[in-house]
Amino acid sequence: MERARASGLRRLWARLDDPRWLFARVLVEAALVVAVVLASGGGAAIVYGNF
Amino acid sequence: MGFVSFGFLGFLAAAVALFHLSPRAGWRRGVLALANLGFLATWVHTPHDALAMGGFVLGSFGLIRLSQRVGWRTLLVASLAALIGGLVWVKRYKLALAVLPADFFEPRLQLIGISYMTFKAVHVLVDAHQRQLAAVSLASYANYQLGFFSLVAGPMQPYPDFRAWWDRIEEPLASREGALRALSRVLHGLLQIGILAALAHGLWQQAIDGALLPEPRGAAALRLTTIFYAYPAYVYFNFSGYCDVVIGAAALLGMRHQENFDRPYLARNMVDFWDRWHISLTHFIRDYVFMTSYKAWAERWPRTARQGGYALLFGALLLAGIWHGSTWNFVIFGAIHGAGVAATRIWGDALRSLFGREGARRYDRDPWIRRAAVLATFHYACFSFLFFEPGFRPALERLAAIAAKVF
Repeated sequence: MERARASGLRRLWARLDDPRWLFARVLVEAALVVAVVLASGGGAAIVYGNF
Repeated sequence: MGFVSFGFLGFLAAAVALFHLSPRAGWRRGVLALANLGFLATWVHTPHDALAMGGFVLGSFGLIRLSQRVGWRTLLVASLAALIGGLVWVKRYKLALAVLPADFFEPRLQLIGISYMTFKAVHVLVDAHQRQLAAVSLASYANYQLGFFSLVAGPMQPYPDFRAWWDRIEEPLASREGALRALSRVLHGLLQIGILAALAHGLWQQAIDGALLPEPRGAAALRLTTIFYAYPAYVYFNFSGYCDVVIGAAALLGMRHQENFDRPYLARNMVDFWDRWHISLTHFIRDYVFMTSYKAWAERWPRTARQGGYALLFGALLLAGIWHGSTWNFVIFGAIHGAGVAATRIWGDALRSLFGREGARRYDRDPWIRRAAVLATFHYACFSFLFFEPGFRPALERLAAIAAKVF
């Protein structure tokens, strides 16, 4: 069961990583980023950038 | 300009579009310079800071060219002292006040990315002095130092890598797939900062904020556990997310950056940890601090080269810790990492002398020993991050208050 789930996840990842799906993946990621920026107000600082 | 913002996304889109619409190398360099200056302008707030930033770039460039031309060792040492002294002054190192007057750090300057810029200047200066670099041009050096994709927090790209890209800046991107993957990397990084790092930071903040409230022992133990794990998670997701943004943004312009992280919390010891965490800093510390000092030690005192190596490893990581911040807690942070790295080497040498090379190899291959080592290293690293917070003293007081409720 555990192994089947792991291989299912691997298959899903391989599909998302497929060049044919890349453009769609980027669109989804961009939509997520827009949602995150809207939700967070863009206030995240870079912790290693304090110095 | 914050990274997880529409401002940054718009800026990046405009910079990448203008860059690729420019037909010739000169145009592209101009677009890059304008983008770098535009980005820098959002981080520099006073004319004094702007002048100091320009002064740093021009001054360090002058020292590099002079050192490259005359090759005097005294000039190299004086230049290194000036660069490190400048860093101590700008960052207002509290530990320097033990030997300096209290008003030494006046007037105050705020220079974004000065720690990275100083180490990059040291790298170019030393390599130029050793004649390992072709002539360094002002335009390439200024854009190398002020590149918007690595100004805020690195990674510290080697100058020859930047120069190789600068010299063939007109080359188009290799493929549409490569461009999409670079864009995906930028977006992944932003999601990592905006979701995972923000979540970990929120958990840590909530736990530390309620530190002084009365609560049962179990709740206090949970609070302590949250603080212990959430802050290292926040630092990792935040910084590695930022590196994804930077590496992806540079790739959109056709530039390749070296990786800066490789699953550091799966390291089996502290030497391995630093091979996976902030890799560009590790390379700098290894090449310009440890190897230089170890070579000098081994030539002068060959009989104690091994023991000297342990001490110098400790010293190199202590220095890396101090580089991270100007307050005493970063000295402790560096000492913990120095002790961890030196202990790893001592342990490895002891195993080899006790069991021989083959025995030590069997020890390394044992899966249970590996799992235990990874777990121990992860917790050692988490412990070190208790000393990493910029507002360390109030955090420590709250931590002590929670610990008093638990123990």
